[in-house]
Amino acid sequence: MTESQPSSRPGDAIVVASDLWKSFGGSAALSGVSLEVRRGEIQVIMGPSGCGKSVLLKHLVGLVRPDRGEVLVFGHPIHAMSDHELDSVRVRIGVVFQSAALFDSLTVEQNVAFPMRRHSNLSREEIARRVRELLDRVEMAGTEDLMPSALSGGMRKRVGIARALALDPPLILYDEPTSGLDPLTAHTVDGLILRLRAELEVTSVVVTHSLDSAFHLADRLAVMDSGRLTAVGTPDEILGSADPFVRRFLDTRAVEVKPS
Amino acid sequence: MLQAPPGTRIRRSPLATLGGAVLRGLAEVGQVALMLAAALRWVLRGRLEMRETAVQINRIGAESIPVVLVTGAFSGMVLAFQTARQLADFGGQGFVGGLVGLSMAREAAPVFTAIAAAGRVGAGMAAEIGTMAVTEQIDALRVLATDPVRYLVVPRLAAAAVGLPILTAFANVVGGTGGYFVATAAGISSGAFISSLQRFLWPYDLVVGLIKAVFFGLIIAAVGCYRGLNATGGADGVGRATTGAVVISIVLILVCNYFLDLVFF
Repeated sequence: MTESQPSSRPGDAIVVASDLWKSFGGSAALSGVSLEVRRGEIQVIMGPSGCGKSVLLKHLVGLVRPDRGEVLVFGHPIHAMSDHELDSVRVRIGVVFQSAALFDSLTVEQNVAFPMRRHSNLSREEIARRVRELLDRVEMAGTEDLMPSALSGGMRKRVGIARALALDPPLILYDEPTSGLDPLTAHTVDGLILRLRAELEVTSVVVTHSLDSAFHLADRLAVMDSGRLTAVGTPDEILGSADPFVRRFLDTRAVEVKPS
Repeated sequence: MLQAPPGTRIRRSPLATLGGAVLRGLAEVGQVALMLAAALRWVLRGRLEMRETAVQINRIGAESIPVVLVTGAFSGMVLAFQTARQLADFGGQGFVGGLVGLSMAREAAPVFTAIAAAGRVGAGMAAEIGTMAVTEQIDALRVLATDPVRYLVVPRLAAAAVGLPILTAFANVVGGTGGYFVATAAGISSGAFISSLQRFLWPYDLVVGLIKAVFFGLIIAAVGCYRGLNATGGADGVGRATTGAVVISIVLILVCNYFLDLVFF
């Protein structure tokens, strides 16, 4: 991992979003959101559908520009850079999309190889080896020649994660990594996210509406409600929060099944 | 963009509706122009995706050759059928070959080929890119530091600009041949048809027809890609992008054809 000019020390904030405002066609998606994500931590953003958490995530990689406010990632002003300038930052950010967003005209191998073919000087053989490693890491070895349409939802997500990891990004953004998955597969994907943090020391931002995933993964949690962060803190702080919305959101976990 | 959110129904004066449509149209023209400018920048930088372009040329050819051959042949045949009958009344059998050849080269081959290609190729581009847009694949390209204009639009523009003249040339050949058979069946001698063709059809006419085809190819690809990139709202949105692409490109082809004729003839 090569650090470019504005470097950051351990414990530093990798992502700093300050006072983000965004509306689409008159309806507000973000109303003054500020968030810091520290190096090496898993920051979970949770909230109900449509609260703006995915929009917030898209701001962090420049897919959506704020109407007002700033986003710094590795110290780069994402909100103000052109798409062309952004490319040098984007190669250091892995994004796992809600729908996995695999290219459906390419095989699994070509999907995972895509970032390396375009942004590295690795030889064909090196890329093929690295693709095997990555697929192995997400427990998808042997699927190289399949088309994405032949994969189940959980398998696609895992290939999507492998593709996001291809360039060794120090920051990974996950958009609803476990939505639409059965509990068992969801648990596997959560385990994978934790393992990646432990083994590669990546910083992660996870957007989810699943309380289970949120508390399973989070070093720090942010609870979002209609375009605002109502509470930010460690999972314990969130559990102890007196904020009425946070309480209401936590109470939805009425039928709790504790793993023994 | 300028569209009201779905479900809103506001009663407006006809003038406001018209004005809104004009503004939307102009905004869209501006967006397409920006996309083309971005595409041109990549071309000028010499950053062509050779593999993607080859794939697209192959696809345009494979998809369109059958339909182009059929439309081309029947255009030539109907031209010969009508002119042979009409001109025979005035003793003008000697003009049939020239008329068929000239009409094919200047108008029928480029325009009908372009319309057929708009239905196949343009719709295909809008549907494919539109599906990518609504399934986050375009976003995925962008976060993988790959400009969709460079990776998707430029190869399709290049492929269509190369492919359409080739298809038009095919249409000329089959149209002329079809016309020849119909004319000779209608009693015009083979020699008369061919000498008339030689007398009236100049290389200039063929070349202008092919140049027009380049413009039509660019229209088809630009509209198809633009509509696809801006598709929103799932399968329904992809469907609307696709039909929109076909209708708009056919209209633009016919309008553009008129003005190109003013320039060239």
